[in-house]
Amino acid sequence: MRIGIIGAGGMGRYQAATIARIAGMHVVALADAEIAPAARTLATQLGADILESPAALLARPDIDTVVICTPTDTHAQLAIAAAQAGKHIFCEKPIARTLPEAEAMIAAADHAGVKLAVGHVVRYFPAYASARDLIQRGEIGTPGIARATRLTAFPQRSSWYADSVRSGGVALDVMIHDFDWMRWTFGEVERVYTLGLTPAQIAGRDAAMAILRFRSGAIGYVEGNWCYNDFRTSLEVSGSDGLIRTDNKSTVTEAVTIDLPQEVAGLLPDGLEEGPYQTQFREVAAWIQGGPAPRHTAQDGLEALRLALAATESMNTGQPVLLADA
Amino acid sequence: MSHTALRVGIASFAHGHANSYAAALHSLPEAVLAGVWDDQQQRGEQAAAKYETTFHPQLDALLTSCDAIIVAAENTHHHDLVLRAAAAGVHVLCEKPLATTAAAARAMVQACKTANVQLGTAFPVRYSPTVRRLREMVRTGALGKTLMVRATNRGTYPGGWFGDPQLAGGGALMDHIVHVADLLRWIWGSEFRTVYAEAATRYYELPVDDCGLLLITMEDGVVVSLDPSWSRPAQSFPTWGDVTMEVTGTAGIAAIDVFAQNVELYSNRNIRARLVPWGDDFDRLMISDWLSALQAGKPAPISGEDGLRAVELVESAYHSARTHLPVPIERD
Repeated sequence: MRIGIIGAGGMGRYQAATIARIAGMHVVALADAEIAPAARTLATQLGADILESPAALLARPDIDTVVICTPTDTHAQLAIAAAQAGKHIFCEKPIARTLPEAEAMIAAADHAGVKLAVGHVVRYFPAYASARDLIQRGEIGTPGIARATRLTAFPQRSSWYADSVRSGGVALDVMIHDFDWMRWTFGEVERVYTLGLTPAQIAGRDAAMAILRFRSGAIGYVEGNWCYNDFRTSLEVSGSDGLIRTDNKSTVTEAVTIDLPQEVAGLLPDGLEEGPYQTQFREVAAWIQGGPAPRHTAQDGLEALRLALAATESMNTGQPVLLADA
Repeated sequence: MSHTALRVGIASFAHGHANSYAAALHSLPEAVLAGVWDDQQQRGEQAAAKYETTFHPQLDALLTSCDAIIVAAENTHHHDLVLRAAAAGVHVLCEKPLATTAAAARAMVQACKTANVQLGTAFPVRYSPTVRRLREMVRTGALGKTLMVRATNRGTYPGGWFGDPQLAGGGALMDHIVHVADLLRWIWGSEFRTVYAEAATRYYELPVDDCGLLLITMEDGVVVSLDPSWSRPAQSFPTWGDVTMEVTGTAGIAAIDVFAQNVELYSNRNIRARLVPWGDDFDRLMISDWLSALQAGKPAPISGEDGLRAVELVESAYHSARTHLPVPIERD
């Protein structure tokens, strides 16, 4: 597959480097309005071209698949243009900033006969996949309470995250990971109630806590928090016959302190032959090449967005939000 | 035993905490365990024998031989026992929750006020040094302004009458909201504004809830999540449960895990791994402080009103869990 990356910021560069390590994947171009020195270095290493606009990348006939790693509010426009250009699409989460945008993306891909996948990488984290497997196998009996926290620093790498009109704040950017995992594991949600800081618009701070009631009767707690100075995730699910818990701190296999990078460390599990982003794209690429659908579909991306938007609405109104029949 | 030692009785060993209170009374010089009453004679006689005191089959006999009593009966019996103590002019320390309805708790507070006896509520977690340091950090502003708190008081299902709505007045929410509720008020010095709750029965076949979640807003703007579930698997989890709080402040994060002081025990004599605690005995610290206050003629350190405020939150949480709406907390 010949792949073009749209958006050469931190995530675009990470995806490019990850995808290039997968057999049969060729990253042939990176496109962005502004090209950081790190992107130029990476392009040289990968033998990829640097392009100054997404349009230039979509016009390249030698590219069959595009990877969209741009700010959330630009996903829909770029994905629709890519579909119209006949490219398969892998779009980072959240699928889009609004539900109509997400619906338009899915419709555009269907209409053009191209494949659209959305990056919800938590489904590819071995600990989260394993926890779901254990639950599905009945190891803990009937699930009661599921708790997921995702605590990290306020994003400094790019200014658009701080603008909740563009990013959707902590619900769309952080909590959506655990909304998706919970929906994958426990099914559809009946109602959501959320308290959080997003409506207060405190500079450099955002956090929220949501309670989900699933149609199955299980209850979920999801917290996203941008007030920490490191990266911490935890997952606990209790059931009638047992309990599962895991977190990213107690599962570290390598603790080395030499010269810490500026970016928050610990985002990914270490000590794995294949990291979750690589597994994710390998599964998506196999689907694009005619294989089975990946474990996360664009419709799942839309449903996760629906939950994140409902959580935001609850924060804004102070009332629970009922989810309509999906 | 000094001449000024307070004569303290225990009314009912239905709640397991009665044992640690009895042990504290037995060992503290400022008190003498003056007797035990229990509506289950065998349980009462065993306790009396264990702690070397007298069993009274009649509550009045205990009340006439005591300066103060500790009520550790089933939740729904607290009200009547506290009113009997008040009528007898005996101070009372009541196990949590103070009552199972706000109306009952208010009546207890009022009766003790009228009778001029001290009503205290047993919230021993206030005596955790860790909790006290968190309170100090919050009060001195070390964390900046508090924005958010994530709290848990999860446990194993205690069994017995805790699953009987006639005696417990509720399930996990009745059992496990009040400790953290009291800590929130005590640490932040603010009252509850609203609560939203989900409750369910998912782990056991019980006529009461065994799990749930709360989202609370405080009058000072702090938002709180609280997990009061009986979610620790009774046969396999290595300890009874936890009390944790993680505070997001504008200047920093503070996390406390009140019962983290344990030694891990993996023994071939027991399939279940165990956490063996080595932290301070908060029950003993609480009893000692309560006795000191009574001896000095001062108000109970943790009052009946404190117990009432926590019960109001519980009642509103159950109301929310039924209506699926956030509920404002009504006071008095």
